Amino acid sequence: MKKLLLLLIVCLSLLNINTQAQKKIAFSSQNFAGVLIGETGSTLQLQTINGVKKDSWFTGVGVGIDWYYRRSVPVFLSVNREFFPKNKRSFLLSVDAGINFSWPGQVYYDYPPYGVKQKNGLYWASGAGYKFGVGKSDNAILLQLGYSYKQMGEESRYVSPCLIPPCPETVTTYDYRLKRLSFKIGWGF
Amino acid sequence: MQKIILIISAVCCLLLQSCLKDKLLQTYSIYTPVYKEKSEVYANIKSNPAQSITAPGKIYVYGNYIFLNEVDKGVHIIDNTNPASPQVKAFINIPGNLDVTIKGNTLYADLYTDLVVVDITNPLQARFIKYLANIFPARAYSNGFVGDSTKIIVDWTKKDTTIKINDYRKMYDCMTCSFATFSTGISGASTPAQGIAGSMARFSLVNDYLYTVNHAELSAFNVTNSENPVRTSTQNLGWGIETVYPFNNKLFIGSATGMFIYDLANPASPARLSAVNHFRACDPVIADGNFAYVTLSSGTNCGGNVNVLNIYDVTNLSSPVLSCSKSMTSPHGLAKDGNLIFICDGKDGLKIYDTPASPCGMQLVKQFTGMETYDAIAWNNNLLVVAKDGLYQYDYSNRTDIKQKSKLTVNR
Repeated sequence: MKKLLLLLIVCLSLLNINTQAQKKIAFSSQNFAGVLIGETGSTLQLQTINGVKKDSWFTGVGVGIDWYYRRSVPVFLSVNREFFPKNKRSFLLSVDAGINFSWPGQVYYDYPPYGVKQKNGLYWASGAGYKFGVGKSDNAILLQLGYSYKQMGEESRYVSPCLIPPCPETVTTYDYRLKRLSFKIGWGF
Repeated sequence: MQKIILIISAVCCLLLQSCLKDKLLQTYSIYTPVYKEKSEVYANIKSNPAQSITAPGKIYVYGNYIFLNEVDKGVHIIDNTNPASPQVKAFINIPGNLDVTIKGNTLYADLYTDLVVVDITNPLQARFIKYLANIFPARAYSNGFVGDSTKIIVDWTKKDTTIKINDYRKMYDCMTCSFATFSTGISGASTPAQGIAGSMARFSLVNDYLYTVNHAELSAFNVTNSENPVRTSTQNLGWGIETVYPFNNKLFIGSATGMFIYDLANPASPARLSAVNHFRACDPVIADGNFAYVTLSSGTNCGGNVNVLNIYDVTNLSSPVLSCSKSMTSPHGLAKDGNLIFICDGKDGLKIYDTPASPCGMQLVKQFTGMETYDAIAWNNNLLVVAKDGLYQYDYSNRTDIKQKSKLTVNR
């Protein structure tokens, strides 16, 4: 998986053809809604990425809500690049990487005598897409298909009843590494 | 070039699709019992070289010595001739031990389900005398583990294990994979004349009788011949019995649902005088004069949702009356000396109240924080407090300037 990620980054870095030059750095925003498809089924995802655009490059900070398996909030750095611009249409390649924050309370069981501590984990995604320019401004519709990985965990503590504290604890940790196909549609400017 | 990009994208997608299998990992600890032959264990019930304190349990004061339980391992013998510098002198290996009490030169302790008798004429040369089998049958292990009854568990080895979970729904089913580890606590220590026990005690010595409680029963033993205790009675008290405290020829028994008072007019067979009910909670109890003090704590260990100090008027022992309740954080053991009440309030540390007029008018005079306290013994202006991180001692001779004298640190 890491090799594939590296491959995409290399693609983004090395390919430098037919880009429509832009003269200045400008604020840019990409806002997506989509689905995540994996072993547990398909769920909704929402993302907003805000940053700057220069020439064919865009980089920004993204935050989203990811409902796959356990709801979470990925916060990530996003880099993408446009290729083959033609008639306000172009191809896109993107890479995101950051931290997946567990949504409070999104655990399987958290009642005494159990106690659960949530853990955050890695988030990354990559994808390819297509951009349709709309109107005369920079507004565009974005379509993207890719791969998304998120990690999160739980540390569950069970305290056995006893008279003399500290009572014996049984600690069980869960590490969820979730791999999904991501399809999202959005609006950017 | 456009075709190349399309091909790369398509290949990536195909490759990635094969990697859409989630990986769910569960890590837990497996505890495996370490057994010893019974004869070997009994032979080792003696004063062995001092050991580090790692899991302090209940305390018992006898003369210049402190007997500090090491949960499920044995008893530390601490020379407390100088409370400012207590010295750990020896360790008596008693697997499964939680409580001790002492009569004269004889120490009584629980060894899982058995009662062991130890000669401590010289505490630094203690020796095993005998055992009474199956006195505390309520001792059990979590998750239904059943050990080899022909041997004695002296330790547990811990091994962390990580497995891959194949089915999402099985994530929590496997909570019970980590089977039996520790025993559920039971037992105690206490005595008015020669030794002093903490309020969490499950043993109590009154004159020539030893009283023990397990989760449901009160037993009386005649210890006139201290080396040969003889059980004289056992009576069922109901569910959730936790502590026993002797006062004024009575036994005050704390249970998860109430407080019982037993009369010792016939010491061989205590008779119930009265009972009061309260919310479900852990509740050590002490008594002093016309009042009984019960701390109710809830949470993961005890159930319920109440954390208070209840003060009962026991002027009429046949009909205790709740005088007042004082809100606490997570109260456990407590002690009283004169007008001072010492309360181990869990993570809130040690709270010291003065009761110049009546117990219900108690005023907080001092609080020591930064430790998680469990039980206390107050005697002769010296306060002993067992906390998660060590055994503390305080000088309360000057009530306006209560000072810490010493601390024996836990080495985990």
